[in-house]
Amino acid sequence: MDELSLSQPEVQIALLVILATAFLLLILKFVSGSKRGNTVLLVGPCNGGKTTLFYSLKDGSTGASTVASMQENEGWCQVRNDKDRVVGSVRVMDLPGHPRLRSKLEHYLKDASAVVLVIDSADITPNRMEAAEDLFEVLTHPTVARRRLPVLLACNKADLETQAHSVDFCRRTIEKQLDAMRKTRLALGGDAGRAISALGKPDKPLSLAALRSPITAASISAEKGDVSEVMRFLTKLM
Amino acid sequence: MLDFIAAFERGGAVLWMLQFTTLRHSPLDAINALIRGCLLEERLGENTFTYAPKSGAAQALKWTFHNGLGLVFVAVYQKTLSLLYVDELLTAVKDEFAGIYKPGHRGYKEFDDVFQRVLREAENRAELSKRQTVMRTTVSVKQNGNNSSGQSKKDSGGTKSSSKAGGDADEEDETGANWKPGANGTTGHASEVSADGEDGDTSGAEDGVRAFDVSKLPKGIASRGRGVRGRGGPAASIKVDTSSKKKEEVAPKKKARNWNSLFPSGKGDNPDRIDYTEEGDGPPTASDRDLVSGTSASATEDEGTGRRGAVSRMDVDEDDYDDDDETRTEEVNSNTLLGKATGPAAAPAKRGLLASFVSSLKMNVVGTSALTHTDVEPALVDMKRKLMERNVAEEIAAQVCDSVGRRLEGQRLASFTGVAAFVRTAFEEALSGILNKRAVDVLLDIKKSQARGKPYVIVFCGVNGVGKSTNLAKIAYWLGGHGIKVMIAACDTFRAGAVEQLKTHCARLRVPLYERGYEKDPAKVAYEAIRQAERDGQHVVLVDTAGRMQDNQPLMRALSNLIATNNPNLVLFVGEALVGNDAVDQLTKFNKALSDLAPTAAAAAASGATGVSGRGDADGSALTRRHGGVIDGIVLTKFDTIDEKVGAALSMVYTSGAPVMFVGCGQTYVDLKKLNVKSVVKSLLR
Repeated sequence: MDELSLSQPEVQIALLVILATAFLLLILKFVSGSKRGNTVLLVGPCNGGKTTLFYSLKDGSTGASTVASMQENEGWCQVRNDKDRVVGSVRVMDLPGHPRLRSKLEHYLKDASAVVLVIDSADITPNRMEAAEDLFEVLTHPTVARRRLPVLLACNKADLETQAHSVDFCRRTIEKQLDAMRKTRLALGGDAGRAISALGKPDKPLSLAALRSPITAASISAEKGDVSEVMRFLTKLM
Repeated sequence: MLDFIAAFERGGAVLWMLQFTTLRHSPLDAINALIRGCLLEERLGENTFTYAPKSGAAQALKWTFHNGLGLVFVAVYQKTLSLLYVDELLTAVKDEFAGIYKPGHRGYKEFDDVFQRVLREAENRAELSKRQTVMRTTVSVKQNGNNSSGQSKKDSGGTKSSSKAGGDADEEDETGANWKPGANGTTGHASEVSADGEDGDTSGAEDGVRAFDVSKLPKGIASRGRGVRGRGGPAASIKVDTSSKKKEEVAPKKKARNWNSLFPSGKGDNPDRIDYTEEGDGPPTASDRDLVSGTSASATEDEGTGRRGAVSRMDVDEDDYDDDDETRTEEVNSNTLLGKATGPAAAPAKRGLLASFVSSLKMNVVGTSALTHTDVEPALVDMKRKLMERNVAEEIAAQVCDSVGRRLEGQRLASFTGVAAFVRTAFEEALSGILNKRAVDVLLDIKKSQARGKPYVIVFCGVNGVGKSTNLAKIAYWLGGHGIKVMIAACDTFRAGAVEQLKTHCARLRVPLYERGYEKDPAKVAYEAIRQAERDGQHVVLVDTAGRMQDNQPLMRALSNLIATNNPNLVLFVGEALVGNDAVDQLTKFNKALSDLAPTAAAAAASGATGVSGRGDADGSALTRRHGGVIDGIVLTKFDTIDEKVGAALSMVYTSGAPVMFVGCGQTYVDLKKLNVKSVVKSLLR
């Protein structure tokens, strides 16, 4: 039995193969994107304007009508900064808001890099429960809590000036709902694997700005194409 | 004439639409209602949907899918018109549009002309065929002298089926007529058949448009006429009695159950402890775990030993599925992938093992051809059989398989997937979608009512012997463990011992009971109980009602009277997991009876402002009542008696549209848990 030494061709070839494979894997890892996923999710209750926003981001097209989505939409969006220069592109995913399809949210949150919660600012009071539940699920998801993914609360339909509520009102409504939900969910203790602590201590009233994941709120109008706030949010991701 | 026609993607973007008449509401509202009420609810088997807008006449919607491209085509027209050409029109439009469709493109103005042409052709064809059928029916009417029933399409369809169906439907309807204990007293075979036909249309859409399709008839009518109706009254109670008698006979042979595992004294098998008539310790006190601090550490560690202050299993998260079950399902999948004719792929074995191997192999490797009906048929049949083996009601299984089949037709397989695996994933999604419903957060709603100073009222209804009183006590225990003050109202004023049973539970739970004895009007007792609770500052009132069969009209009327008078926040239907095909009948009849005498929409909206927050989604659409039902939630009881035959959950949820809020899985107070959708779906598809 010969001693294995580096001079032998078999050993050299074997080492070469190992190095090449390792090199290839490293390259693949870099090419396939940064360590976090690079998808931005559009979530929110039904009729919030997610699909309209999606198309507005994707190719700037506005004015086309939409119906309730039964399936998620996927596309690439060119991110432009304030000077209207393209700084990058990001993958946007529009998830249906219907409660039956909520399971998809869990599935896609694993690879998300940011979340935009789109709510109807004119119709917020009846839908605040759903919006708060969506936000709750997003914030307490282990991936989101761990990576502190940024979340944008987009108050859509600002073009309906008289009926649309202000950003502050929407934010406070959601905060109150989330606060109440936090208390009951904590008591149930049944949400294993959910990072409820990400919502802060229950004895203080919940404030969106004080949570671990940075949450900003802005007012947009997807129908009219006024999505500058969302663009600003996406630019910060780059 | 048509009101509106549109083509849109499944992702939500509308590609093309054409409006023929101007209406006060946006036509997209109707389409949204269709999507939410029908397409997402796995009811693709029905082919018409009725939408009643807030202003204007009711509209009917028909649709068709192009599964390969993920497109949906919808036609909307006035319900009162009966347009025969809509189906063909939709198919023709689908074919034409598929030719010009480009993914990513959203405006198709050029399609207008194509559409006008197609519309003209369809209308002409319809005119021709109408003229032909008119000539044919005039001839046949002269011949058929015994056409005794009226002129409406339904009745003529009924007689057609009775004379034409030849064999099955005919005989079974007759036996159904014999079995009925003379409750209805209807005369004439034809009218009875048409009554069955009406019941068969539980989907609600009056199908005046299509000619009566006999091939679709026997499944619903046959089972209904023979099995469900006839077994209505006395037979069911006999069934319950024998099962309880059997339990008594078997009990002495079993080892005596150790009730002391729950109690702090923890002595040996002390038969005195089974005597519940003395005061108990009640649920764990509020100071241990209240809503705010959430310090449930002590409670959860006790749960394992099952000792002091036992926690209701509602508050404990069940472990997810075991690993060995996972590997078993993966093995099954891999077997079918390799084309071995076992399990789901067994049906094509009739064509010969080699043929099935080759064809399944073809699907594996060359995954570019679209699925046709014949490809998925054997897998669907097998799935239906499997679902029925798991105790899913026959018509629910048929409808679910039908709707999944429609969704699959025309889709392309990814390479290296077999048909069976593909069908299975589609089923998993469909079943999860059906079972995953947004459940009412009871604790949150109770707190809201608390803030308003009104008690939160929950009414339990169901047929005899399903476990209403037992599960009511379990829920009272669970709520008590969260520091909520509960009061029980004994509105079962009929069954002997009902009030005493509740008295015993209340003594153990340390919960006040409002009772007025027997032979009193339950609605009045409930009313007074709620007033009393308001005065005493109780947070929740649990109302126990008497069990009643769904066919018993006067009792159903009494129940809906109780609900209408007291307007409870939550109406829970209690159903046992052992029920089979009867689940569908029970729920539809309960829903129908309760909504027929329910308050009108205006009154409901007014009361909605005063705190009836648990009722329906607040999305303002016409579907706030969950398919026109009044039942807000389902309590599934006796879950521990079934191992994997969990299909009753699916039947109930599909029929009523209400979520399963509680699952009762034992005889003690802690045996209450939430429905684990993943495990139910896995059990159904195993």
